[in-house]
This record gives sequence, C-alpha cells and structure tokens, in this order.
Amino acid sequence: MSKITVLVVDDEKALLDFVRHNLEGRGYKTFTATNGLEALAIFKQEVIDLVILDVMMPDMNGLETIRRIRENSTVPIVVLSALGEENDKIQALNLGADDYLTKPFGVGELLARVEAVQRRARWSSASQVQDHSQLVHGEIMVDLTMHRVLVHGQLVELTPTEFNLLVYLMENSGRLLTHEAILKSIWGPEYGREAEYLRVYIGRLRQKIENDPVNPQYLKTAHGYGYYFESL
Amino acid sequence: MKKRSRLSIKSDLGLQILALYSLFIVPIVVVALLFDNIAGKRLVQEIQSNDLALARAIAQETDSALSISLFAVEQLSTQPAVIAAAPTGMPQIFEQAYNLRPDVNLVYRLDENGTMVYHYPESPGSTVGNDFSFREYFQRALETRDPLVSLGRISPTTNQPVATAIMPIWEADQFLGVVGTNLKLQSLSDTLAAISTEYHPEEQFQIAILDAGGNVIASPNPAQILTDFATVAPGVAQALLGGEDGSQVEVSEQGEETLYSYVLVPGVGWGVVIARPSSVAFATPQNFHRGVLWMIAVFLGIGIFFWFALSLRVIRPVERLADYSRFMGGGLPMETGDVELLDRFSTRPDQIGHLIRSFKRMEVAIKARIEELGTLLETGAAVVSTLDSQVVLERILEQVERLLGVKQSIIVALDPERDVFRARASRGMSERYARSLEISPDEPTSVTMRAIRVGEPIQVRDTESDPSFAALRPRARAEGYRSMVAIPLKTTHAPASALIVYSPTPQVFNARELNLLSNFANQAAMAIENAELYARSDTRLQEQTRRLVALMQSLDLGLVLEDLDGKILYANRMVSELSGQPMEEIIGQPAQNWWQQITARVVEKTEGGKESEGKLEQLLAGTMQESCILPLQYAENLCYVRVKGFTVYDEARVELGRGQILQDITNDYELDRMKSSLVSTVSHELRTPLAAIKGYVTTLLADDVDWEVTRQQEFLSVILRETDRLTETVNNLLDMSRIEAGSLTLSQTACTLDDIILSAVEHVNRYLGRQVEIEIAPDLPLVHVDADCIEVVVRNLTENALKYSPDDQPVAVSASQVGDWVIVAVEDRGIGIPPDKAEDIFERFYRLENGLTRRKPGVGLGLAISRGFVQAHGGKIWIEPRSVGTRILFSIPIVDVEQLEKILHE
Repeated sequence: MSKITVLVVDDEKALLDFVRHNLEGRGYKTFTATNGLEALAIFKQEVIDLVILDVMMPDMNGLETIRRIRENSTVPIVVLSALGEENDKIQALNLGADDYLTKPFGVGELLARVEAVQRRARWSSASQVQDHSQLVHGEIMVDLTMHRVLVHGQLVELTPTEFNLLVYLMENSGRLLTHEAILKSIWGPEYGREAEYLRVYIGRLRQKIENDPVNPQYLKTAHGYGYYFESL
Repeated sequence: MKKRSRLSIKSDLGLQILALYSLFIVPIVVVALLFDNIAGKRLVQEIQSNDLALARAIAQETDSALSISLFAVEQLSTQPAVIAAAPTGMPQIFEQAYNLRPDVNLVYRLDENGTMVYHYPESPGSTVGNDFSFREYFQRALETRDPLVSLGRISPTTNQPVATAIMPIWEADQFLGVVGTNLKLQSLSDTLAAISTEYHPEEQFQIAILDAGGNVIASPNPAQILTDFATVAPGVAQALLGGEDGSQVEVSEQGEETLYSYVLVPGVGWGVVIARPSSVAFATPQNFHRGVLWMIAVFLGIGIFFWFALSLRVIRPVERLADYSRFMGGGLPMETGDVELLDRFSTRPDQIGHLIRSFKRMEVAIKARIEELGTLLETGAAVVSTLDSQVVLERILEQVERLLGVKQSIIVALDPERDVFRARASRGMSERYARSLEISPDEPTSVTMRAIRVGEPIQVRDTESDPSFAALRPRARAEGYRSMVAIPLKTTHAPASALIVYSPTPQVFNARELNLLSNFANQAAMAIENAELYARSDTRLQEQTRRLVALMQSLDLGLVLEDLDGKILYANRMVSELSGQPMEEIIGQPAQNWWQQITARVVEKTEGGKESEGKLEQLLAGTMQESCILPLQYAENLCYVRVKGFTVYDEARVELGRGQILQDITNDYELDRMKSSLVSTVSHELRTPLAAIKGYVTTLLADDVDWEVTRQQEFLSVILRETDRLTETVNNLLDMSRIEAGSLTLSQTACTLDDIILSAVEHVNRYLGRQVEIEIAPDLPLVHVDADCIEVVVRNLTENALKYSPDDQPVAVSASQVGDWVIVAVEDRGIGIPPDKAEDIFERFYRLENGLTRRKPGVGLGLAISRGFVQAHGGKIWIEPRSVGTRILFSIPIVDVEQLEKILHE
C-alpha cells in the first residue's frame, strides 16, 4: 500500500521538523506550514490525505484552520495541542477534528494516531463488502453499499467516523455499548479513554439524524457508562 | 312629605280608636239585626193567623147562615102544597117563609121542566111561566136529593144579586121540580161591613166572600159583587178553588202589596177572603225593622263623627308633629302645606298646641346645637385635612366668630427661639397689634399667661373695672375691647399656646360659650401639634431618604425599580451611565423601552452574546432566577454587565414591583479571560519545548528508522536548545513566584553596571545573532546590586526590544548617572507600546494583544520580573513615551562611600 500525503502545520520549528522527519523517515510524503494561512494555501494546491495541526499558532490559529478546511473537505485532521483540558479537546472535535494529541507526545503515539485515522477512513469504504447492504431502523436507512444515510428519505452527509459510529451502533441496536468498546471499535485499539470524542460525535450524529436532538429518539445515553441505539 | 304607604292598626291611633269603637258597636248591631229578623217573622205569622182566624169566623157564620137557609128550603120542600105545586097553598107558605127570613127576597117553585110556577112576592115583576131550566142549580138539582146553593147571580125577578138555596123535590124517583129561596147577597155584604167596622178602620180590612165559581158574592164594597176575584188576586182565587186555606201576599198591577188570608166555607165551596194592604198589615214589624236600622245608622254616624273629630283634632297634629320631629332629626324637609298646618295647630290653646309649641322651641335649640357641632366637625376636618397649621388656625378663628359672634380673636404660641409668646393667627385685631404682640412667659399682668399657668380659661368681664387688668387697659382701649377670655391650649409636643377672644362690650361668657371655646382651643392645639410633629417627622424622613438616595446613587451597581405596570420608578446613576440617558428621562418610562436601548448594544458575535438576549427576556419577565451576562458595546470598549432580577414585596408578601441589579463585571471578566489565557500561555511555553524534547528523544530511541549521524546531531542540539528554553521559563516562573511571595533574596555586591550590561547583551546575541549598540557613560559610580538579577533585567529588556522590532532596526542599550541614580535605558524602533498600556505591561503574564506579539513566544513574565528585581534594589522601571519604538528605563541608586563601608563592615 502506498503511503499517504500528510500536511503538517506548527509554528514551532522544532516540533514541525520532528513530525516531518518521522513521517518522511517512514515513507510518508509531507508538506509543512508554520501557520493556518500557509496551511490552507497548500491544502488548496496539493492532494492531502491527512492534516496534522497545531492549535496555538499566530496568523490564523489551528481551530479556525480546521473550520476552514471542514467547509469543503472531510479529510482526517489530527490536532496537536499544548492544552489538554477536556473543553479544548471538545472544541477542536466539534469543529471537525478527528483526533487530538496533547503535547508532549512520543513518536509512537503520533504514528499510531496517524495510522488509526487512516484505518478509520479505510473502514468506512471497506463496509461496502458487507453481506447485507442496508440497515433500517425507523426513519433511518443506511445504505452500506452506496455509503450513504437517508433520514426521512433525505440524504444526510456524514464524515467517515460518523458513518462508522452510526453503523456500529445500529448493528448493535438495543445493546448497551461502553465508551471503551465504541472507541476501540471505531477509533482503534489504541483508544478507550477518550469519552469526550464520543460526546462530540454522538452529539453531531444526533444533530444530523434525530428529530429533536435534545430529546433523542435513537441515540440514547447511559450516563457514566456508554450509549445504545434504541431499537424501535 | 312621605306618606305612609300602608295603614297599619299598630301604627295608626285613629284606626285603633275606630277598632275599639267597632268592638262595642258591632255586637249591638248584630243583636239588633237578629232580633229584628226573629221578632219580625213572629209578628208576621201572628198577623197572618189573626187574619185567618177572622176569615174562619166569617166562614163559620156564613156556613151557619146558609145551613139555616138550606134547612128552611128543605122544610118548604116537605110542604104538600109545595110538592104539589098547588097554586092555592103555596102563596101562604111562601109568604110565611119570606117573612121569616129577612135575607130572603124571593121564594119560588119551578116545575120539573124548570118553568116558574110561582114566586113570592109576586111583584114587582113576575117571571111565572119563564123557563129556568138553564140555571146551573137546576141542572145540579136534577142529580141530587140534597139541598144546594147556587152560584151568585142577578135575579131577573128581583133584579138583585142573589144566591139561591135550592131543594129538589122528588117523589119516589120522579123529579117534581125544585123549591128555592133567593138569598140577598146584600145582606151578606152588610154582615161583612159590620164585621169590618168592628175592626179599626185604619187597618183597612177588606172582606169578601166568593162563591164556588170564584165570583165575589159578598163584599162591603157593592161594586165588587159578582166580579171575578181572579182578576183581583188570581193566586188567591186559584188556591181557594183548589180547596186550600192560607195567606199570601199578592202585588196588584198598580204595584200595591196586599196580604190575603182565605178560608173555605165548608158546606158550599165558598171562600172567605180577607185582604188588607201589606203596609197596613205589617206596619208593626216594619216599624220595628226601621227602628233597628235607624239605631245602626245612628251608631255608625256617631262613630264616624268621633273618628273624624279625633283624627282632625288629635291624630293629624300628632302626625305632623312626628314628621316635624323626623325633620328635626335630619330627615326630609316638610312640605309647605304641612308647615302651614303645623303653624295653625300651634296657635291652638289646648295641649296639642302646647306640645307643638314646645317642639318648635326644641327645634330652634337643636338647630343651634347642630350648627355648633357642624362647625366643630368642620374645624376638626380642616385640622386633619391639611398640615398647614396657619390655614387651620385662621379657619378656627373664623368659626369662632361665626358661632359666638366674636369679632376679635387671636391665637398666641410660645416662640421657643426667643422665649416669648407671639401671635400665630389673629382675626379682627389691628395688624400692628398682631405683629408686635410679645408676651414674656413670666409676665405677671398677662391674663393669658395666668390662664396658661393654671390651665383653665380666665375671663376679664370688664377691662375698665377689673383691677388686675389695669396695666393693660391702654391696649384694650386702643384695640377697642372691654372684655376678654383666654383659653390655654393643651399641647404636649408643641410649645405652649392660648386662644384669646375679645368682646367690645363688658360681657361674661357663659358655660356653653366657654365650652365651645374650649373645643375650638382643643382643635387649634391639635392643628399646632400636627404641624409640629409633621415638621419633625418630615425632616427625619427627608434626611433618611437623602441618605438612601445618596447611597444608591453612589453604588457601583445599577439599580432599576419598576412598578407592576412596568414603569420605571427609580434608577440610579449607574443605570443612567449604562444607557447614556439622563436619570429624569429614565424614570417614568416603560422599563421595556429602556431595556431595548441596552439590548441594542449587545454584541452578538461575542461569546454568549446571542443567548444573552433570550436570557434577559426571561429574567425581566421573572421566569428566570439566575443572572445573565450581557456583552455590551460602548464606543471602543466592550463591557460585560451582569443583570440580576428580583421581585419587591411588601410586608404581607404582596408583590409591589420588580427590580434589576446591573453590575459591570468587565474587570472580572477580563481577569477571568487573562487567567485562562495565562494557563494556556504557560502550558504552551512549558509543553512546547517539552514536546520537542520528547519528540526527538523518542525519535532517536525508535529503532524502525536509521537516522544519519548528522541528523542525530541535529536532533540532539534541538533537544539541548529546548531544554535551555524550558529551564529559562521555569526560572522565570520561580523568580516571579519569589517576587510575589516576597522571598526574593539578593546577594548584593558593590560593582559597576558595565560588566553586567555587556554580559547580558552577549548572552542575548548568542541566540539572536543581532547587533546591539551599547553606550555606557565612563566612570559610572558604584552600585550595590545582585549582578545576576540585574543581568536578567537587562537581558529581558534587550530580548524584548529585539523581539518586538524588525531585524534591520537597531537596538541600543545605554547607562548613565543622573543625580543619585544610575539609569539604564533600552531603546528600539519597533512596534512600540500604547501610552495607556505603559503601566499594564509590567503586570505579570501581561501580553499586548496583537498579531505580532502572539507570534512571539513568551509567558509575559519578563517585564514583571524585571520590575520586581529593580524594585528589590530600591530602583524604578518605567517607559518613556516615544513616537517610534520603545524606550524602557530603570534606575538603581548609587551607593555613597560611607554607606558602602557600613555595608562592607556588615
């Protein structure tokens, strides 16, 4: 399998070089930028498969950059940040980041995340080969073959992770799934404690498929434990 | 006048008397009517039976007379000559019979064919040979062998009304004719006339005998003889023909009532009728009846007369008097007619007149009393209706004049400031007098002072003759009064006062007048007290209100109070500042309008800006208890205002209105923001070098990639650099915390600053590689400093200058002596510092917010630490305003030699 192209964005030259050297050393093709504006310019010109982005940067910070990228792309984004508070993570995830890496981190963690993001993107396309081509619950119809979701017959745009999460919950509908189980299944075996990821993703899914996202009909929360898909 | 709508026996004396009278009269009338009824019937029966008895007697008599006639004729029929109808024998026999009977006017013999054979007397006319077989008695004779009486008729022989006693003559079974005697009906009538006359002629008896055919055959009235009685009284005639006895009243065609009593004569079918006019017959019972009716009428008449008399003379005056008393009691006024009537009654000399006159006198007295009371009440009302004591006191004096006819009066009160009594209000006195009147409280001659001292009214009957008034006589003459009375006012909270009234003539005020004056005096006292108390409480209240208002005005919080209708009742200075509207405009306008001006300033794009308006709406409606924070735009500045709502209740927990407190929390907000940005800055400053270190260390440790040696060297040098950076940051933080905790210890030595500055600049240049101009004045004096600290200060300032200025612009460091100070200045031509931030930049963790500063690393501790160090040396650090770039200076005090020696010794 050929290695993907990664855009690395960080204003700290030391860190930028560290990421770049490691990725290039392992066969990835990289582009680097030291601020958001530069990153967007590169993103427009080149075919980028993954974005690794620092949050605290001058001249358009990381969060704004994510928002701009998400306006017309579902490219996987991994955020690097010195801020490890839950709110910071949720803010980034809400804007559309796929993963969040708190500084400092080792090269192993970085590579694992990069691979996990790639894997998730692959999975969503891999589900084409499933036996049953459709999942239907209530007004929600997931076409696994065409890789799309219809709610009330209306097409709903989902990111690969959102799609995988929904399919996973629907396939296990009626079963209570712990945070850890969901994270390991969808994000990868390296995950398990990132409950805030689920909060963001479940929230986003509810916005997209529930009639009343505040009082969900399908995606139910088991407080302090996990989530389950209400089988109707 | 209101008429009583319903006559009630309980409420009407006239009716009661009438009822009492009826109680006596009605039984008497009833008894009389009963008696009249029963006795009347008795009398009628008696009269009828009397008449019947008479009729019976007449019938008896008639019967016996007829029996004699029939016996006589029977005797005649036995005479052979008569039987044989012998012409020779008969005249003698007949003559004999004729002469024996005065009532017979003809004796005759008819043969068997009814032909007159002979009659006696033979003259004047003869009917011998005439056939009389048609006569009804002849027909009847043919069928009987007994004597019979014919109906009455006019005899053709004698031409007189007669009835015939007939005896048929039979020999064996052969009818031989009849012998008859004609009885003169006249003679019966004569008998009846005799009977009639036996009775009193005024009783107007009319007696008649009827034959079996109903014709009158005997009557005192010859005209009636042989008339059909049915034409006179058909009912009676019918009853008699039917064989009945009895009485009945018949009414003639002329309408006269007649009482008929009738009896049958037994043998012959005749009837006797006695008639007399009912009026005559029943005169007695009718008279009795009439008498009873008269009696009732008289009783009724007397009753009515007495009732009328009573009601006119007694009840009506009493009723008018009752109305009058109601009117006096404050009821409706009387009608003029009633008033005139009452006036007329009052002239009567009797008890009623006397009573009405008493009432009238009473009314005058009551009216006067009511007027007094009304005036007092009015005065009382005036006292409580206004707190302007002047108005009340003048009103009181006016009323005193009205009620007592007093033209001059005055109210004096103690003036506590000057300790003299002065006029508070006066009436009818000369203005000069009222204004200049001053009585010392211990003035011995003053009547008023005496009255106040004893607490009782004191009168002067005549100022000219009263010896105690001698001293004041000229004044009395000038003012024109001859008598006076002073009434003390009973005041407890107000200064002592008195009411004085004057009269132009010598006069004694009677008890009633004094009482009235005392009442006025009390009212006046109350007015003065009220005004005094009000003035006191008002002052207190005003003072309190002033303080409260001042307090609320000086509050840092905005306070808005609105009533239940949503109108703003109160807003303080802060509120006026927040909306930029003067206070007068805010108060009274609908709260909603005011809030609209505030919400117009809300900056929606800030954090929480959009939701804040919805929250505010709920808060103003009272549906949300929490506070909400509004980000408001004021010119260049963003202001954060926290709004909290509350409800105002009275003591009974009834809602009076609502209020809001507005608090400008911009500073708190900024501080919060700074704190969170501090955390992220420090995190960034610590973690970024750490991340590089960890990253490169893990890179070197990873065995899946073989790095070239030059790369490895490069990685290690980055690790070293980042470690230095980390160390510096940590040192800075530690220095800062030492400064903050006051635990900074300096290891000071006496030295000049040259070396320190050079060392610092060299250190800086090592990293940044930029030229720094150094200009140090020769022979700088000694200073007593911790060299490390000062080096940090110079380094920080130089680093900042390099960091915040373009690479091609020079940075200069200079040192010189100014007075007792060595001053070091660091100058650049960089971005500069806004003058208003010249102080802020020395605060710890403060970083100017703009694109350039954010691009540069740093925690914002450099200047804060520098200031701490400089101040620890007794120096100052400050910024000099520049048009381009920045010039930061700090000063270090020079040590003089003596001091230095002292230090060295220690």
